[in-house]
Amino acid sequence: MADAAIVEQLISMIANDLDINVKATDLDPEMSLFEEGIGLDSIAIMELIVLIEKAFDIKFSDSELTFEPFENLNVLADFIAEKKAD
Amino acid sequence: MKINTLLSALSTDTSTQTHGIYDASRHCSYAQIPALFAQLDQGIAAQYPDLPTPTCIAFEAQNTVLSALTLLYLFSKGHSVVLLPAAGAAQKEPGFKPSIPAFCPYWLTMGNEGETEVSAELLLQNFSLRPHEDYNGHQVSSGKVYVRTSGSMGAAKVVVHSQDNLLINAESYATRYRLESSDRLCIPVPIFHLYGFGAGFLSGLSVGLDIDLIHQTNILKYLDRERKFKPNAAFFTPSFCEMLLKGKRSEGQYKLVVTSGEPIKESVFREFDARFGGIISQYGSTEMGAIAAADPLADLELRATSTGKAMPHISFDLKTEDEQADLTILYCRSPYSFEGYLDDSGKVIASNDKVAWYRTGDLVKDLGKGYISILGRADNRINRRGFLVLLSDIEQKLETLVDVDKAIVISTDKQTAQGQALVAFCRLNRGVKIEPATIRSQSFDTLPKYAVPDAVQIVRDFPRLANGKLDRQSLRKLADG
Repeated sequence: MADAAIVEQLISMIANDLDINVKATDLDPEMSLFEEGIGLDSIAIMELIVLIEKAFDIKFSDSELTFEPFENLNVLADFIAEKKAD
Repeated sequence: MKINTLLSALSTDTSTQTHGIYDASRHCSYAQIPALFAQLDQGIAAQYPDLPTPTCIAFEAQNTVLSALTLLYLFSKGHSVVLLPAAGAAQKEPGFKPSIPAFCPYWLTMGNEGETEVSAELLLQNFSLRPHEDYNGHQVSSGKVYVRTSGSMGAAKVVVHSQDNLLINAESYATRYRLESSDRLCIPVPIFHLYGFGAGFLSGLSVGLDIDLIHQTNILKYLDRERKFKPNAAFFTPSFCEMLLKGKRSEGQYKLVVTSGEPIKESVFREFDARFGGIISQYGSTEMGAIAAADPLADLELRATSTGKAMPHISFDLKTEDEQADLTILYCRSPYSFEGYLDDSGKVIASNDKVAWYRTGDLVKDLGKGYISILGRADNRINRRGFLVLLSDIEQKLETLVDVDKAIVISTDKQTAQGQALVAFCRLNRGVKIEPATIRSQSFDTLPKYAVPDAVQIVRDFPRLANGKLDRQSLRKLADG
């Protein structure tokens, strides 16, 4: 199960901290982050990565900068939780 | 058709037959193509018995193996193709119809569904070929490619190319790029546009190398494909180069990266070369194809400070149109350039005899030894209080401001005391939040008074056309509004 607190924090980041026009209530943790779902473009993705690294005190390695961890918010939350556990 | 000779050679030559076209889910080798197309012939005859051969088909080519194979198949039958840009979000609306010229009788869209194994059945399953409702009965020509110009001023025109000439050009570009069949080329830029298609895809095809097509690129998708496909060559745009510099943490080694579409910042070019290697700028137009590019083996100074030298088959003429205003415009010609312009009904607006010089409308500086530097559009130059100012110079100066990441300056029709009104659109550095008025007052420190923009607007990012180029018309509307 994805950590609900992390998912909530991610939703808040995307709705409030990213410079895109999306409301927290529109964000479904199972929705794709990309064009099929939330529609984050490269700029938004880069901003989100920086925000996540700061907020959770983790660093994405080069091989982790792939779209698999970013498939949707649940997957991303799992990924973050695992990285923090390391 | 030249394409058939090429495809036949690629399928039998031992150095190319195991290579092919890739995307995230599929792959097709050059060896497979002849048999695949023969089966497709039968399938199409069965599924679309009334389809004349050749005819003219409007096709929205996506960056997928299935789309690329479809394009090659259409060429191999001598069908003319209208390259349609991706419709994007609008396509999801019910009753959506893309804008297809009236002279085109058919419309083809491709799905990307089904199994990973490529077969004629799979292609046919994904075909949706329909008659074009608004076809005006115009007589069809064979073996052409039709592309709408972005028409920055007024009505868009349709540029006509011969498929054979596009291939001849592609072969010549491959020589300039020094591409070999052992190279691995990644194309994240759209193949419905001549840059991705004519310069990228066809050049790669002409030497029979492995090509990876990326659909709806974003930084993560690209990094993912880069890791899996391990390209040593790629076609980018300047904004994608900048994105890669920010998003890719490791160093890389590219033998060739072509950037085109708009001028690249010299600092970005140099950083890209230092971290990833092999970058060259390319300059071209829909009518002429690629016009100039540097040799990837040329030293960094030359590559970073010039727009390269004439592509093979291209001749230059630098004409000084106005001595006083120091207005030297680049003219060029090639025996393999466009055939002419049509309007949407199919009427010929103008024919290109390949001998007359084509006016690019761009300001050029001769750097000697065949090298040129494109300074910007001639209409990049405006009069402010009697001084001639280059909009690109103002953009450069604004970008030296510590908070500004990128600036685009638009001149509007409004007249002010200074001359034509200037509006600067600025994208700020990440995390910066300041007022437009602050940027404007800062610009007084770096620009002469007559060059200071009359207004500044802050943008999150710049509007772009389907082909990735800056959408200046949208900016002009924002400036006027």
